[in-house]
Amino acid sequence: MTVDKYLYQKISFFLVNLMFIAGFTGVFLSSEGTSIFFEWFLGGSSVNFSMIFLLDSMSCFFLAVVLCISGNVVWYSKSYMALDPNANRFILLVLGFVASMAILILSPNILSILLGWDGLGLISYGLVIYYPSKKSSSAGMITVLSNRVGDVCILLSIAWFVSVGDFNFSIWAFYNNVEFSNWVPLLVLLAAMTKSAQIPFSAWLPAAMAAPTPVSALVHSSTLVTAGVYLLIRFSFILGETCSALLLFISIMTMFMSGVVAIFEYDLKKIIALSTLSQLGMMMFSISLGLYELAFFHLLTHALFKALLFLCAGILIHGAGNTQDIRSFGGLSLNFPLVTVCMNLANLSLCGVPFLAGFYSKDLIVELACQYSWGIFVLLMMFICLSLTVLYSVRLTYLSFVGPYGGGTSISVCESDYSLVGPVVILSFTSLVSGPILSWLNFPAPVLIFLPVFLKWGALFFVGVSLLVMLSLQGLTYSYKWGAVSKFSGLMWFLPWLTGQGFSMKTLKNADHLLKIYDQGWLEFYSSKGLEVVGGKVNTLNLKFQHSSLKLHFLIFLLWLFLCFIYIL
Amino acid sequence: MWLSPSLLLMIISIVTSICLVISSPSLFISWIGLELNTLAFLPLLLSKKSKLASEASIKYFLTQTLASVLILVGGLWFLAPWGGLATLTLLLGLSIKLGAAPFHSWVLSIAEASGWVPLFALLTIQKINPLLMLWMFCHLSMPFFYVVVLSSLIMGGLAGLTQTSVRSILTFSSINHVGWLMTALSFSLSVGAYYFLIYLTTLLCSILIFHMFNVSHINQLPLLSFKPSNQMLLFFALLSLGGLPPFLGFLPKWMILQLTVSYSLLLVGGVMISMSLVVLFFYLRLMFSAFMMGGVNLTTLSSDPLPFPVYFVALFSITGGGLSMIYFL
Repeated sequence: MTVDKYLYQKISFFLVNLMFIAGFTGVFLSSEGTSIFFEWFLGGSSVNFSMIFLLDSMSCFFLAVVLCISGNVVWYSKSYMALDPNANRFILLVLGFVASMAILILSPNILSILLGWDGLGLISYGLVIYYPSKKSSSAGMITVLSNRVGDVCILLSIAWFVSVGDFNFSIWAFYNNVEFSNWVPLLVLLAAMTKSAQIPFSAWLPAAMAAPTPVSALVHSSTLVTAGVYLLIRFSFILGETCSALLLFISIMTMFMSGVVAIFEYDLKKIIALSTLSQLGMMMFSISLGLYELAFFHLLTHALFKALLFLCAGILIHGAGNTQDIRSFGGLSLNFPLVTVCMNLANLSLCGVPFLAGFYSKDLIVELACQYSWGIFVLLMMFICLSLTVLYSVRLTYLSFVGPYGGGTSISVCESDYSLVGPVVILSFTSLVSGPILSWLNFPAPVLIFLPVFLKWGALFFVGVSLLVMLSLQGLTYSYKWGAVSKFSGLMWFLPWLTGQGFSMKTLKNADHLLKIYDQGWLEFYSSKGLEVVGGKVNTLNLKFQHSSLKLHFLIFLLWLFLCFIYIL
Repeated sequence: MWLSPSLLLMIISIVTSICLVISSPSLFISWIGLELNTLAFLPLLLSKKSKLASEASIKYFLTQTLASVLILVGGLWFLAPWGGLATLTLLLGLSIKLGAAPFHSWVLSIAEASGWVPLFALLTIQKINPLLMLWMFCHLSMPFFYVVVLSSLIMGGLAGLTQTSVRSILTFSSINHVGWLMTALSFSLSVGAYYFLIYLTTLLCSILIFHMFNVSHINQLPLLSFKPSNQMLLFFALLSLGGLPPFLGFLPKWMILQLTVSYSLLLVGGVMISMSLVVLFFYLRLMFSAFMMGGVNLTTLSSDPLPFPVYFVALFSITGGGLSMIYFL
């Protein structure tokens, strides 16, 4: 394999340059308060076909974040994938991912969104099955099939867009009287739920952790999964009350489920994946309350610190003898001081500790949700989910860095490898400053919030209390005592079984039965086989008429003549 | 052989008979043209000296005579008080001459016995006269015309499925084409003539190739060692004959389908489409057995190249569509 020695650096440099362009365009556009449409008209009479790119502050910022993370991840994977024989395929897939993400972000046209959306699904499949093993193959299958449901929904909504005459959905936001079918918001919602792994479809996200860790950092935690959230933000103008209520319920369920499951999980990457799931639930939650800009803000900050978290996890996995089980970690802060600092930064950010990135977005969401008083159930669940986030984050930190040495086989120190540590440090800096900077850029004027004191302190109270609780429980090291709860949660509330094997086993059995009885049985006998037998008999008769004597031919002719005469007379 | 004076005379007689029918003012003169045609075609059938051929020629003669009698009687009945029967009898006679479906059985036994060139004449040139008379006297508004058209379409399609002899397959496809031709003629002469000319060229191409390689049975096709270019030629010619869209054979079918739809003859149109699918299927089966199944290469030498006219005819029968599109623009 001949690869350019500096291939990864070059690509990374290219991506970071693009990031600066996108970022500065975003800053310019948001300060001007304008957006730019590029429209290339392709044709069409009753339905308008055109290729459209929409540059506004939202798309530019999102693109900048994607490019920032991908630039760092490419640099990081130079060292991470150094010993891999198929690294070329890997880098191509990552570039394909960036391209389809860019198409998805920049185009407000449902057709080209499908292009990007399908590209994302395909590439994510290609990345999940990157390591050739049976486990990653089945994980890839559940990933791609779950995402396929969303693809189908987008296709169906394309069919609905034909009836209004333009695939460019962003222009419909300016018309109040366009009659959209009730199906379009529902279909878009369903598509977004599959991509963002909301509850009936959440099984694929932890399964997708079979991909290499840099991919998990870039694709399955920060950017691809937020495509659903982004789509909903773009479609915010048609999401009605019904859809919002549905989404509210589903997102809270997802948040709660993933929080509880993460507490009982032992796979490092799966814990982080589940925390991603709960943050996705948070974004969906804020969308369902109508706080679209806040959801976008949380999307950006979350992307940055979640990528950081994954890159740190990658270093730990690399260093601790290629194991992902956090029971074999423990006391790693002595071996990886820098990584410990960065990972804790990301974790605390995730918890929403004041003045770290996550705080700015999460706190705003929580306080606005409190202010609009959505009912005691919603508020209570929201606070419980907040504390669940803290619980699993602290457990992760405790088990891997603080707790007793877990007996991993070989601990090597990776912090001297600059191409591993460099991106981590850069991303730490970015995620540290991203909170305030993005909040200044997105919200030029501070959001006005009126709350009673106990609600205002509520978020901080829950965060602090759950921090103390988890520390005092010593990271739930002895969770085998929890028995059934632990088992129930460890299997992710049976969701993978319900949407995967459990569903397909029964149907496949039935299908097999049907195949044997009908397709290869009676239907075969009476349709194709029966037709053949009857046709053969008819043909034999026909041949007798054709190849026998002339007398018979003439008799037939005269018979016809006779029949015609009878008919006429 | 083909340049012998007697055969030349017969060929000239056939051409004369066609001219006679085309330009005749009366039914009687047309009938004389038909008789002349029959008598002149018999030596062509007999050009291959065999028992089968003589039997076939006798069959041909008797059938044509029966048909002629019907036509003459029909013509006379125009003058009789029961004149309503006249067109019907005429139509019956003409259908027998054409070999349209309820009266198609005689064509097959003759086709099996004759050589390739007489077969080609039988399937194309011999049909000009009855088709012209059909255009003059009969129309799709007659119920029996409808029956003949539909049964030719269906019989040509379905019965051809079970044949294994190349001659029979081509004959059944020609019965199917007769259904198309009769429909086309009931709309206008020009559409019918157009269909006929294109059918003639496409059939000419494939029959020439079969003639060159002396194929008469499906089983022989895989044993022939075609050059890939010749394979391609036969493949495309047969697809064109079956009426697959990019090829020439599709164009007249398209025109006729459009006409049937615009006259809202939906039954005929539907049967046409579905049966042309069946016809296409048995052509495809012919070709698959020839080229796709990995034929046995018995001969190591590749066969002789086809003569130049075959390439010329093939080129027209395959791509003439482009040219005729220019004509229609």
